Amino acid sequence: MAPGERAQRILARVRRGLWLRRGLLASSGAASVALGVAHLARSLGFFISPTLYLAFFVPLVLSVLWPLPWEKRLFWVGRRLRLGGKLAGLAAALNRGTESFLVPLLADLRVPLRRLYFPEALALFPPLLLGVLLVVGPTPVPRVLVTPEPPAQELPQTAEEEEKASLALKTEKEETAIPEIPQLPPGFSGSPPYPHLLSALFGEEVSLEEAVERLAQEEGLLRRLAELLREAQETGLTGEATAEIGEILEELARPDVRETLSQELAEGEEGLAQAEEAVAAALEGLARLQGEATGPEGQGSAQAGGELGDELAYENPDLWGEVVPDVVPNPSPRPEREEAEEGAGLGVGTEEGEEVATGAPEAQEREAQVVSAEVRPGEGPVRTGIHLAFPGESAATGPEIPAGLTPQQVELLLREGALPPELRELVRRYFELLAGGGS
Amino acid sequence: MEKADIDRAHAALVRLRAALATVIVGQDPVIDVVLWALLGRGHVLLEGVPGLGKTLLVRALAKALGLNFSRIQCTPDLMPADILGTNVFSGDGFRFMPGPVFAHIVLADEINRATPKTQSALLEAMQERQVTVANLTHPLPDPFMVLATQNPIEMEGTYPLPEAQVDRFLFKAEVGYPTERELVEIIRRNTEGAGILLPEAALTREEVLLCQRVVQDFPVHAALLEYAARLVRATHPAERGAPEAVKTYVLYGASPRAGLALILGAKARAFLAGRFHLEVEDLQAVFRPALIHRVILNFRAEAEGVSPWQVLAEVLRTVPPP
Repeated sequence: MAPGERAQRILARVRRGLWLRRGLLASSGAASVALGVAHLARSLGFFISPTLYLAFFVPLVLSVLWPLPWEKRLFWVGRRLRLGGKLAGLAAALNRGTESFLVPLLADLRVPLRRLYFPEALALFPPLLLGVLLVVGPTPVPRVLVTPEPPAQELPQTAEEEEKASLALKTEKEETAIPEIPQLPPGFSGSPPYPHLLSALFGEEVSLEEAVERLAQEEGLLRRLAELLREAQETGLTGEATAEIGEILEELARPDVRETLSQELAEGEEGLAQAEEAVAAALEGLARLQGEATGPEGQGSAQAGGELGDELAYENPDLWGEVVPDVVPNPSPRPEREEAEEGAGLGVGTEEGEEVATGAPEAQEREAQVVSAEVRPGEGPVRTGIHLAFPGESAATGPEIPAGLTPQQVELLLREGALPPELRELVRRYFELLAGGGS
Repeated sequence: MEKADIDRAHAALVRLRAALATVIVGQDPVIDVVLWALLGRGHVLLEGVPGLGKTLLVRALAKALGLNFSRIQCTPDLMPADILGTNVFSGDGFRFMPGPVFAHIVLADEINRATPKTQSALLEAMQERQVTVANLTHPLPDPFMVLATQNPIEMEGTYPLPEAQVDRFLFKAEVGYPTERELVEIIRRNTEGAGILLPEAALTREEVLLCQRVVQDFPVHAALLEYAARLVRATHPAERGAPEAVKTYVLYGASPRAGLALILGAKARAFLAGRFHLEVEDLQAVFRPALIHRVILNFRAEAEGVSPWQVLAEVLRTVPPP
């Protein structure tokens, strides 16, 4: 190969190396910025359109297209490659056509281009690190969902057209009206209220399923206790029955019931009747609570299973106080349900004479209506099992759908959760949205 | 020019260095500057106190190069004709008698003792490489090199060289005092045996010319030319990017000849080092001898005791290399 040709090849390699180096730096810089913005948007819960990220790669494109003054950088390249001014001398000799100088310059010339990329390659680490963090990092729930704006209506040209258009728009609005979501008062955090209500009800953090399970366990114990007491009244209290009653009392979750029963049973045979009444009252309250927790479907089973409690409740309505439902959007087809609500207690409901805050009429109408709204999946476990339904009716239309909460039950839960009245409507709407998104 | 010519020229320079080293003790920087000037077809102003071996260096150089040598001892009564030559009448008419300037290597000893008229005559010959007497032009021999010396201390009865004439010297070499070890060696060589013997000719005239041609053809990258131009321009106080020291202490900056000196000296330095390409360091190494006599400081610098090199060092530090 002629010295001139060889020199040209070497210089072309150097030029390509410089292009590559600039591209490497530009791409790593652009990727770092893009991934940094992605991290920031993700941590703030914002969603950025992927097309916007393409803008960050403009520097990369520019680095490829922008002319590279590579000849002026030959001394710098020579220093980086530890070649001194050999490359610059080579270029100068080539430009002047002095081949006699090319030969000694090319004699022992090795161009280790890898040295051109060494510190620059470290620039790849930040975007790589950001990329890995983006993939393996936790996914926070986004706060803002970017939804496309509806297309603007064409402006009417004449007055008649305008009137028609406004009429049509009004009708359309009435047909497709989506109830407004009440705004949160200032200072209220945006977290879902349902877990707080449950925890206020049970005194600790429990899920709905766990609450239902606990209530069923409590019901079984009380039911067995009622049987034992009935048998004891007929045949007398045996030692075996006494031991079993003691075990059941220890397992009872409610300390007040346990204390009452212990006092009654301490009186001996005379206290058995009072103890049975107390157990029946507890069962009645439990059945009511189960109904509230498991929803209409669960109420059926709770009522079927808790027959004794219901009967006792009817017999003794004053034991647990009267419950007046806040909202009665539609007359229930099951009056026994309303009666049960009147007799049920266990801390839910209002005292006699207390003014009950009811929801707005339009809100009551909306309760039975499934509202479609955009809700991101994976909002949390509280949505599971919540369905919008009429009081006393099962929202579950198929066997695969689990028990849900009625709006009335939600209302009761809200009251028990000591939620301010002005927020109840908001929480109700929240559950409506959940139910709508899950259907 | 073939590669073999370059190799032959380089081998000749190696021989020259070895020959000079047998006579001159130390003074390597001065020898370097003299050789750069020789290869760059320039002249050198040697500045130093008497007794430092300036004359010996020039004589040894001429002998080692195999060229003829003449010495002009400058005094106030020296006339231009004493240097250039004159027409004398012989039997068949006037005939030009060449002066001592008609030699390959000319030593103008204590040039600042000659009158400005005589200095001008010499400096014109240096620049034009020819002498005109009685309307007749006589070319000077090739290669032609003037090495002028001047004493920086003794000012009485001297005529300092005008700036325009100093500018015609490619480099100015500052001859320093030898170290103790070098001084011991100088004493030993001068007091033992036959004393100092001048070297044998190590090169031929053709080889000297070949070396000069190689340096002339030496390829220089455009980035280095731009760097040299930036360095020279930075010595001008009116220049926008000039350092603060230049703006404060410089009256006149370096002329374009400084740029030529930088590049020629850098080429010669690279070739002497056996390289076939220039480094940035070559330019930086010749920066001082190429510019030290070309920058004229103002009164403030003189009052504050600021030397030209202090200002030039700031220039070298400020101007970014390629």
